[in-house]
Amino acid sequence: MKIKIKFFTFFGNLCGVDKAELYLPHGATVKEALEKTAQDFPKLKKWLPRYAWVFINGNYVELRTQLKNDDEISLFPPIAGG
Amino acid sequence: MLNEKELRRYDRQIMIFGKKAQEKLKKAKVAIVGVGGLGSPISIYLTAAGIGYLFLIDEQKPELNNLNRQILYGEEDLNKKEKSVSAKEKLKQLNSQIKIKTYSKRICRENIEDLLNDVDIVVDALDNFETRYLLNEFCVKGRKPLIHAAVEGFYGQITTIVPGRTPCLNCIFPNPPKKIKFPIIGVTAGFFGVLEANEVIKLVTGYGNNLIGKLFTYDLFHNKAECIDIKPNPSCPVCSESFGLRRQ
Ligand SMILES: [Zn+2]
Repeated sequence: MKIKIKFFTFFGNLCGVDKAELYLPHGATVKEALEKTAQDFPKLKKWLPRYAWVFINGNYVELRTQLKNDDEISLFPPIAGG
Repeated sequence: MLNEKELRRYDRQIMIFGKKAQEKLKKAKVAIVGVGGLGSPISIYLTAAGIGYLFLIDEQKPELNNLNRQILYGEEDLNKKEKSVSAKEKLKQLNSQIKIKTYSKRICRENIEDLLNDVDIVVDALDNFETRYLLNEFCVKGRKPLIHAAVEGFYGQITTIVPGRTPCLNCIFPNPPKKIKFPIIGVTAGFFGVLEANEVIKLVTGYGNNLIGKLFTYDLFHNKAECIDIKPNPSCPVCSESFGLRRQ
């Protein structure tokens, strides 16, 4: 199945692109998608899968959540400054 | 009621949203938690806009490496008074009619209810998630709107949390970032502080659209804005009860 992934703020900067597509076996989980993303974009390894804020189609997800074809993952770097 | 001087002072914005809205601003009580990079522009713009009562909370004193972004303070303020106290003096010069209360100790679980019970809106201008989660829990329980922003480098994020209507901070950011010394440039904090003040003004006056259920990010390096719709986590340990989704 095909999953879209969007990189927000400095994740986009690190990856050099602001979106990408992933091809994963049916029933793949968020964790697997993030591991694949880290393989494709090694600069994200430091954050994935644990240290990023992740939404699927705007919804809260857990790492074990199963993805569906055409789901869109939004990936936010954790920032805390003020 | 607005007096003649206030009508003149706020004339240009009354042209936008009318006298009734200006009166709402005058009656509003707003807490700004953290008076640093975000808190400086938030408090300046809310003071200028005529928010009636501001409560500034910050226990730190200005340090030299704060001055690239914490625009309320200058060299003469270094290591003297707490930021909340120093900020009040500056803001009073800008608008003597605003009531400003300060608290110069750390906000914590033991004192948060006493401190924030009588404010209408809480503005998160903090630099750590530990205290942000505390504000979030309090605001969800007390049903108070919470304006959240966080910044780093040339990047930032902002959302307006209205308990019972939007996801809470815990729904959106369930895991805290690692504690680091974060890079930041003044313009990023300035930009997001102004957006937070803008959220307060719109929320109080009812004029304009708030970032309700929306997470807005801006990359000042590439001038790129994004806004995504976010939904509450039905099993959020903090807010799911406020949606009636979880019963004990
Ligand atoms: Zn929640």
